Amino acid sequence: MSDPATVTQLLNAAQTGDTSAVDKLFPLIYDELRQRAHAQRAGFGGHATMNTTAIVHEAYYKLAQGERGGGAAGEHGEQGGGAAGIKWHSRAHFYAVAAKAMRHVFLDYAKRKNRKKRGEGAHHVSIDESGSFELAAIIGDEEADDIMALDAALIQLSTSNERAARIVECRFFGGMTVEDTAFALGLSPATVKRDWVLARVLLYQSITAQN
Amino acid sequence: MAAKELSVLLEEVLEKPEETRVAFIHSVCEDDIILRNELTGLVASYKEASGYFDLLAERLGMPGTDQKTTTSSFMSNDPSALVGQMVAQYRILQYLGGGGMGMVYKAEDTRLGRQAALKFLPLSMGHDLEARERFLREARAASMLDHPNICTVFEIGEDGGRSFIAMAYYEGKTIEQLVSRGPLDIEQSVQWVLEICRGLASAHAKGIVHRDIKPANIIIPEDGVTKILDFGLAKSANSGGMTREGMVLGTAAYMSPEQAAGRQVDHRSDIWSTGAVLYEMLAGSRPFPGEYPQAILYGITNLDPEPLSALRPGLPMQLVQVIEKALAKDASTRFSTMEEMIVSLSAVQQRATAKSAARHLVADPSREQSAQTTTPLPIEAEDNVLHVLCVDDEPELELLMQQRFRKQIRAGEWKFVFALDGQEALLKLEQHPEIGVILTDLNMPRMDGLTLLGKLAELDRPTRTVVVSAYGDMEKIRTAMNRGAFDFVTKPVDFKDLETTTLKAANDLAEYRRALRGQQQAVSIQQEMDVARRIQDAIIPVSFPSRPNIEMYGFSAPAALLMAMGQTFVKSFMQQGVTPSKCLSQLNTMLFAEGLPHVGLRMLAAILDPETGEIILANAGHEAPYILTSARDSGRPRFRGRSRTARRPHYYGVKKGLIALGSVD
Repeated sequence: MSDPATVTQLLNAAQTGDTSAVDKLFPLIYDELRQRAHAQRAGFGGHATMNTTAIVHEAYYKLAQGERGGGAAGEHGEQGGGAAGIKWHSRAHFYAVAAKAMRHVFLDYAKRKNRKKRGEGAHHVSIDESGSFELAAIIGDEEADDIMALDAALIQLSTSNERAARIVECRFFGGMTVEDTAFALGLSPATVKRDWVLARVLLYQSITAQN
Repeated sequence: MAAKELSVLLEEVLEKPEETRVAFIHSVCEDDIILRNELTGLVASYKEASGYFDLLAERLGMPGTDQKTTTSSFMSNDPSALVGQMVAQYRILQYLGGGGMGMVYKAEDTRLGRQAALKFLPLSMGHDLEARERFLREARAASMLDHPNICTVFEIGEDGGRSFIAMAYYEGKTIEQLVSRGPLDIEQSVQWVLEICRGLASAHAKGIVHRDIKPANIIIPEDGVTKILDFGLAKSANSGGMTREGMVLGTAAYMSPEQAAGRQVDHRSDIWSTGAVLYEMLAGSRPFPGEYPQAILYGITNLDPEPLSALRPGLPMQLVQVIEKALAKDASTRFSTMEEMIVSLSAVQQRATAKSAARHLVADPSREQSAQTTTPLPIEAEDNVLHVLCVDDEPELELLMQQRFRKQIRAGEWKFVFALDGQEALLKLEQHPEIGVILTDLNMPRMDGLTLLGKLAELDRPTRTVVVSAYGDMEKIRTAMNRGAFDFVTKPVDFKDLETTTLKAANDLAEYRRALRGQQQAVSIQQEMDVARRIQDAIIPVSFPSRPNIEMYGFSAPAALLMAMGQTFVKSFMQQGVTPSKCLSQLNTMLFAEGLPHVGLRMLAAILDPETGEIILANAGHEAPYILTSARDSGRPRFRGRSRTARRPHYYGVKKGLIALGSVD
C-alpha cells in the first residue's frame, strides 16, 4: 500500500516544478497500478482483456480519495471530496505520470516473462511480486516480445522526438484520450493527433527494422 | 523540427483519397526527394502500423486502439468542463448526462437560435479513418429517419477533433427517470411503448436496427410524444463482442439473448429490448436484474423473468402475453415484426381505452347524449346471428363460454362479446349495436350488474338482460328483475339452462323487434327516441314528486319509444284540430289494433281541466310511472282503449293546469 497522505503533497509539489516530487510520486503510482492490474486480472478469471483506463482511473481515485480519509477531512461544502479537491492540472499530471508508470508495469511483466521463458524466472519471484508474476503468466510470449520491442522503439523515438514518445506513453499505456493527453502535456489536441499518427508509423518502422 | 512538419504533412496526405495521394506528395515535396521518400514510406506503412498497434493493444487489453474500445476521458470525471464553451456554432449550456457512447450536452445553436442536444462521440472514433467513416455512414442513415417518434438529427459535425451529433433537444424526462420513481401507469405505458414500436417499425423498414433500446434512450417530452434517442449509434458501438468489461451495466440489461451472445442481431433484437423496457415500466424493476454484467447476461440467456402478473397484479392477461412473446429467448418465437407487436399492443390498448372511455361516458352525461343523438342505434341486427354480450369479472368465463357454445359459434349462429364489468359492457354495447342479449354477473368491480341494468334502461335500446348470479344473491336478483332484467340463471351455471334462457330472451327480443317493425312509424319513432328520453327525463322526475310506496317504472326503452310515438301522434292529431280526448282514443285504437304483444300504451299524461273535465293537453307513454293522486272523478274525458284487459281508465287530477295520469290498460 502506498501512503496516500503524500500523494497530494507530491502532486502539488510536482505542480510547482519540483522534479524530485515526480521521482517520489512515480513508485507510489506504479505500486498502486500494479496491484490494481493484478486485482482486475484475478477478477476476470483469466478472461479476455483488462482495462487499462479503468485501472488508472481507479488508482487515481484510490490515491486521491485516501487522502481525504487520511485526516485533513476538508470542508464538505467545498467541491465534495478529495478527488475533486485536487487541482485540475495536478490531476492531469497524475495521469501523465501514471501513463509512464503503466508503461513500466507492462515492461516489467514482459521482462519477467522473458526471464521465465529462459528458465531463470521462478526463484526471482518473491511474495511481494507474486501479483506481477501471475499477470506475467497471462501475457503471452509473443506479447512480451512485442512490449520489449515497443519499449526499445520508444526509447529510440524519444531521442529524436521526445514529444511524440510522451504522447504514445499517454495514449497507449495511459489509455488517455487526445484531449487528456493534450491537456496533460500542454499541447493542442491537433498536435497530439498528428504526432500520434506519425509516432505509430515511426515506431512500427522501427520495430519491423529490429526484427 | 522536421518531425513536426512531417506530422502535418502526413496528416494532410492521409486526408486525401488514396488515389490522389501520390500526386499530392509530389506536389508538396517538390524536388525534396528525401522528404518525398520518407513521406511515401510513412504513408505506405500507415495502415500496417495502425493495424499493428490495434492488434497489440487489443492483445494487451489497452485502449490505445481507437475504434475498438471506448476510451473514457479523465476529463469525463468533470463533464462540466465543456459548459460555456463553443463547439462549432453551438454554445454548450449544460451537461445532461453521459453513457458508454459519449456525453450529451444541452446547447444553443447560435446561428439558428434554437436549442439542441449535442452528443460527443468517443474521441477515439475520430482518428481511425475507417471507423470514422463507418460511424458517419450509420449516423447519416439514422439522420434520414424521419418519424415523429424518433429524435430528429440536425447534423453530424466536428470541431477540434471531436465528432458530435446535433439533435433536437426535448424538455422532458426519460423513461429511466420516470420508472426510477416506481412502476408506471398501465395505459400510459402501453401508449408510450406503442409509440416506441412505431418509431422502430419505421426504422426497421429502412433496414436500421437500433440495438440499444433502453429506458434511458427514450424520452417523454412535455408534449407527450415519445422520442427514441441515439438511433444508429449503438450499431457502430457494439459491432465488436458484447462482453467487454467496459460495457455499461444499464445497457446489458436490455440486450437480447442473441446480442448478449455476440451473435448476429436483426430487428427482432429491438423487439426483445422493447419488451424488456415495457416489463420494467410495469414492474418497476428490470426483467433480468444483476449486479454484474455477467450475471445479467446469464439471466438473459438462461432464466425466465419473474412473472409480471406476480409483480403487478391486475395486469391484463393480453398485455402480459405481449411482453412474454417479445421476451422469448428464441428470436423466431417472438413477434416476427414490429408491426405484429403493434397490432397486439393496440388490441390491449383498445381494451384499456374502452374501459376508460366507458368510465368517461358514464361520468359525462352530455357526451352520452350527443353520442346517442348523432348515432341512432339500429333496432335490430341485420343478420340472423344471436349476438350475446357476456359481462363477468372472471376472465376465465370467456374461454368457458367459447368452449361450451363452440357448436353455435362454429355454426355462426351465436356470437359473443365479453366485458369484465358494467363500464366495459356499456362500451361494448356502443361498439356492437348488434348485441341483443346480455348475460351479466351482479357482483363486479367498478360497475356492478344492478347499476348496469339501470344504465341499460337509459340506453333506449332494445335488449334482454339475463342475470347470472349466485343463488345466495336472491335479494339482488329480485332487485335486478325489478330493474328490467328479463330472467336469471344461478351460479354455478348449468349451461343447458343458460342456453335455454338465452334463447328465450333472444326470442322475446325478436318478437318485440318484429312488433316494432310492424309499426309503419318505426323510423320516425327511432328518430324521436332521444327527444322522448329527454321528455321523459324532464317530466318524470321534475313534475312528479316521488312516493315511497310506489314502484317506479317508465325508464325502459319501450316506454321511451311509446312516449315518443304518443307524443308525435297526439301532436299531429291535435294539429288537425282533434280534441285531446279524441286523439288519445284514436291513438290507443291504432296502437292496440296492431296488437302489440308485450307492450302497450298504458299511461297517459294530460292536463285535465277539472271544471269542464276536458283534457287540454295530452301525452302518452307506457307503464304509469306512478299514481299522483287519486282525485275525484271530476271529469270523464272519453276515449276507449282496446287493451287485452280492458280495464277502465282512471283519471287523476285536482285542478286546471295539473297533470293528470291515467291508466288505460
